[in-house]
Amino acid sequence: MSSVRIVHEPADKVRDIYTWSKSAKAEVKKILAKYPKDQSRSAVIPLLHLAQREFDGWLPTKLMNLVAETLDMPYIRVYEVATFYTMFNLAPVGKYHVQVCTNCACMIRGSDKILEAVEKLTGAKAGESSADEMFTVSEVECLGACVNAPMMQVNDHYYTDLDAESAKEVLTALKEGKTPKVGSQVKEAS
Amino acid sequence: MTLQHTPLSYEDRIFKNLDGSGDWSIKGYQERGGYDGLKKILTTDTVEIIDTLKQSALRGRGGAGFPTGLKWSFMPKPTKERPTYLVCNADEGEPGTCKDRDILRNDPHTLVEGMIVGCYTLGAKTGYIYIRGEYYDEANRLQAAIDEAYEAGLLGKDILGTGVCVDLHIHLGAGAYICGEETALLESLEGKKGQPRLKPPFPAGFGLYGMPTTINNVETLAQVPPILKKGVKWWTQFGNPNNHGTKIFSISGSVNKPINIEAPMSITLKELIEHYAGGVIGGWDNLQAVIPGGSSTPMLSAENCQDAVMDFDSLMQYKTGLGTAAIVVMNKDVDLLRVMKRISGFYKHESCGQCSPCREGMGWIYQLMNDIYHGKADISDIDKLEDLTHRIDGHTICAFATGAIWPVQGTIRHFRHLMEQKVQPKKTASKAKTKKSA
Amino acid sequence: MADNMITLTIDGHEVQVEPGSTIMQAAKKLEVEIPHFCYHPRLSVAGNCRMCLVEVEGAPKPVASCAFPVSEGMNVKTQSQLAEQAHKNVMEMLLINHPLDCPICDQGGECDLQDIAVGYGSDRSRYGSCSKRSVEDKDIGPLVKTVMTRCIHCTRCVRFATEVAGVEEFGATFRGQDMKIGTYVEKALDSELSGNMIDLCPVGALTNKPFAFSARPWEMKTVNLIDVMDGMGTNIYADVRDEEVMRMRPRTNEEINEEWMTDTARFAVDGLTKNRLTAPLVREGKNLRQVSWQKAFDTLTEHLKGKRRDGIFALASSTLSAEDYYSFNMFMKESVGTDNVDARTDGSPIRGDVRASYVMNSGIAAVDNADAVLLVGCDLRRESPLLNARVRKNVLAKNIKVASIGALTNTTYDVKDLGRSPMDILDLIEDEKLFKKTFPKTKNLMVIMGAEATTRTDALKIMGAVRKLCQKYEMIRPDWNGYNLLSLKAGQVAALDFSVYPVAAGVEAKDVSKSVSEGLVKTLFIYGDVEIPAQELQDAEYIVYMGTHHSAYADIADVVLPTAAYTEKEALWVNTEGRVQAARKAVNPPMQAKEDWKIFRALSECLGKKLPFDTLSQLRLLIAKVNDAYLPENWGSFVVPAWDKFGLTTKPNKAEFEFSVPEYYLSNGYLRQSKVMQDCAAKAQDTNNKKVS
Repeated sequence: MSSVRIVHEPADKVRDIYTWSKSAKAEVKKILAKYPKDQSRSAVIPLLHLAQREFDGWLPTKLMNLVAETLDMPYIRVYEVATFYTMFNLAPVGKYHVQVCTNCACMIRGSDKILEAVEKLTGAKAGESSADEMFTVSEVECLGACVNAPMMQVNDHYYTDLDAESAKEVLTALKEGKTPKVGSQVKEAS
Repeated sequence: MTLQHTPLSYEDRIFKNLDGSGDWSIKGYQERGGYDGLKKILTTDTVEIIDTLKQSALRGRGGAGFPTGLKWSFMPKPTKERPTYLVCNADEGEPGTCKDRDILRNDPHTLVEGMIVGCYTLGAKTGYIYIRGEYYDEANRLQAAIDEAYEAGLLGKDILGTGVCVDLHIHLGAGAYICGEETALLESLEGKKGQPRLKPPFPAGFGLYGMPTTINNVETLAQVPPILKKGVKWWTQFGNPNNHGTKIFSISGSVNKPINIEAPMSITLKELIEHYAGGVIGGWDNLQAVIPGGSSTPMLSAENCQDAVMDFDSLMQYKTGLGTAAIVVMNKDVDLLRVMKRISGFYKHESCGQCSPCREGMGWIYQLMNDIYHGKADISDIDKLEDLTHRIDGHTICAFATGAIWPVQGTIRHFRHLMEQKVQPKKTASKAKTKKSA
Repeated sequence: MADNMITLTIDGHEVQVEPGSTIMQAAKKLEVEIPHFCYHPRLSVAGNCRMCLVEVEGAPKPVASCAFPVSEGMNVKTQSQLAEQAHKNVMEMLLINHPLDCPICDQGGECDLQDIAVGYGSDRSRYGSCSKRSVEDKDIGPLVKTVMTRCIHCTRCVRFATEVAGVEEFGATFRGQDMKIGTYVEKALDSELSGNMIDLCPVGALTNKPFAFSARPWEMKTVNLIDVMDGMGTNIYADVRDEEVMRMRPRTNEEINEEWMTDTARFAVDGLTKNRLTAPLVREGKNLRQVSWQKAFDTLTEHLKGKRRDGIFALASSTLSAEDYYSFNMFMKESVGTDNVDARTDGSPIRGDVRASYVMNSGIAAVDNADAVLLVGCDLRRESPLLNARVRKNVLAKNIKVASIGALTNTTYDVKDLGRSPMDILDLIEDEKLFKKTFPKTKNLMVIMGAEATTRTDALKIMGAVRKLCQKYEMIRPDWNGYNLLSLKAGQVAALDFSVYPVAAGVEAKDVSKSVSEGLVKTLFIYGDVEIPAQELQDAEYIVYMGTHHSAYADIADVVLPTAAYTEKEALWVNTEGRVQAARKAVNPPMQAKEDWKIFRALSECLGKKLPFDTLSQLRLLIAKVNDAYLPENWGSFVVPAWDKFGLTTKPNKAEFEFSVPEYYLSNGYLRQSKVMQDCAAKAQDTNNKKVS
């Protein structure tokens, strides 16, 4: 039997209390200013993004509740939104969330090799996190950089025009605490 | 190769910095002629603007190709109680499609200018740009452009002294292809799940927050100011009747030089691939099939590709469409059934789950594609698969399911023999087994 | 009929409907049946099941009839090849992931999916080797059982919780084929109306938990009853197998409960078969011994012989029928001869002189025509969850204003707080500006007084103040009477109609405890579970208990007479509007228990003062003389009572209102006997504790 996604929040990864920091509060205010006063619910996706960014990269129920309370929304309406959109992580992720596109354009241009290289380097299969919790590897749908295929997204940034070698270089750099060049990984012809 | 079309001159290109080689900022944009003549547009009668758009026959670049002028003409005049909204659909996510990303990061002011003109024409004081959540860097780039425009008095109150007021806000999505459907996008913008709305009512009557709303694609909006500035005649010189103008084609897959290229409409597919994308890897004869307009559009066989003309109407004769003009090329080295199975998997993953036929059917179709690919199906399953696609098509609230079953139908239409090859071994094997036991 | 009606054709038949109607509504008018799952006339349109697709001439695709608006000259075909094929196609999709567990599913036999599959489903599956989806269940409390693998995602339950019940705790999480209906986190639904989801669920995903695996629909016969758990007079069905009421379901009555019922009404049935009194009992030392009716009557007659009448007291519960009160009152006052009789054991001083003073004069359905509602000492959500839902419906649909003078309660909509004490009513009377500010442009205001007000010692003063308020702001007109007293209990209006309280110089119920402790009560008749705790009454010298269950009152009694529960008698029930409704008898009283009026009639004969009726019909003829509402031709109708002067004009007390329904799930004798309701109460207690901590 195939089974629908069941989320288990590891208790040791959930904080006791979630409250907005001062800077986050300012950000909330800024976000709310974008929408009409009686439509603050519009801010739920931005606030979930913010929450995920502020707290460990994922959204335990408690944190969703914080967003709901901030916007005066019923909890369930926030759960609905958080579970609908794939960018919201319902379970803990590593420091770097490596998302390898394997859809058509990337597949044609060798995303298999990218995924293989990523899995090998991190030691985590797609859908898993590495033992040191540095990386979480995911196979994702088209990220809209098809003329720069194959590509992957690590946290916020795109790394495009990859081959197995350059994919490894990006992740190795990240692992070593360096900042790899974002965007195309094609080396300038020397 | 002698070209059948005349490549666009630099002057005629709308997205002059599409390749990102120049300066994306307001300075670079203005040097390229951007924002010139904006003041004049903002003092032109809006009815006249919509008329011009109607005459230009500009059709939406987001995939459906609905006439933009007509769409704008549905909008009622704003009142105090019922303000209007313009929403830009930058939720680019159809596999193969990546043109808006390059506009957002390399030529963001084309969109800003388009939004200003759009908001003015529709009487909208506020415009939202809904960008897919993954385009984080691109959204930051656009935000920088918007900030520049505010700084330059091109946004905010009393733009260029014309009295026009426009505020633009970026709203990031969070990973749901369905939000590219305009009413799902509105739901998402309202802080709900991205589930398409029942229509009627249409957004022009009941859109964002229940107010009259128009939703346009990034490219469409960016094309409006040049049409108004350069005139209908300039625009209609490109492309066949009712399919006019310039268009960004995203050419990916088995080509030597994948590229986003702005070219005149009604250009041939072959020229796009051979002239702009460096040709098919392994040569034209190595071509297997092409998806002409993003993953939803049924593919063209290599034979079709020989003469296919890239515009909305011409592609209909091949039972496919221009879609987003995202051309995914597959040469003979590509495991075509695997690609198509992957695409079916995409639609299963992205169904919003609202309508029964789509929610349940997408999984079933993927299962069958998977079984066929892995040789676990028998030959009747191909017929079953085709039959299923007809049972889902047109039974749902939005066009997502149609977009999902078209590529399956296209695969069966052109590559049934590949599918049969996959399933046959099993059939003979089972036959042999029966014989043995008998 | 409006003159702008739209004419369309459905399956060759012309029909006229109002503009804005949907094809489904037009089809309903023609009695053309279109199969559907997600559509429900009392919920918003979702249009997601796609089962109701029909062909519309000229449309390229089949359209969803539940959502598609009609237009002039439209030609709809519900049985064309296109439409039929669409039904079959959608049906196939709905069934592929639905488990084939009908034999162990409680919905079996009354399942929309089953029924419609008979018409449109195939007799075999093409889904083949593909695996079916399985979905984890979440515990949503003791009332609703979930088997979410059966869910077809119609979202009726989600819409009900959100729109009607007003508890946004149910939703559809995740997406695509992973979409899950539920609470996401494990939690019991905090609603008094949750059981209605069971009726709404078109499949066996949400079923009646206490009823699970106990009977099949075709084994039961259905009897029309009236619910007695609150004052609404909710119309219900009792589903009966043999001599047992297996479950309750709502019966549609647009003027009262629409098609909903409360959880208390639905789920307390388990108490009807447990701990019942099945034979007369007489005390012998420490024990109650079973005796014959004759022996019990003889014992009582013997005891009453020569007793001073002023030492005889009688209390009646508040969940009794018209016949019960009438015969009891007459028995006590005439056959026994005491005036110390009272059914107002909640301490209320209200008397039955002016009917308009103690009923809902607007009527329940008038909420739909009201512009505003003022609650006075009323915890509407607990006192009448259905009336509350009706108010909420209008808050959502028409944005009517609701304000409250009373204890702060947890409502399901925004309520403007106008204060805590009866003095705030006086302020509202005096301060016209405040009134106009609170209720701008209000023509039809409904003032609803609740039990917080009516059980106070100064209730008559509060009623007088509210009458003044209504009159001052012209809410008493030929076309509108905004004065409403909501009865919390099912028997409240009938007891007042028949003056089941002291009419001469008798002792009132509120003083009986004191009389007991002073040793003045020589004989105490307790009829049903009263609001005064048994401990306060046990020191009465001799106690006669007439009731259905072996409750605490039976324990303190010297003679116990077993009566019939509300499901066990032909009876007239009077709701908070004063509407008289007849209920049938679902089952016989258990063993030797008897219908109440028969007991009083027989006992009166033993006492030598025979009551003047021998049959139920004769009794009802007498009752019909009390007021017009009881005339058989008026049964079921709302009879507007005559307006008159009532109430006191002196100032009420400053004391703040206090909660009227501290323990909702255990608020009457029937509920207290139900294990299911005890579980609910425990769960609610648990939730409250968590909220506090």
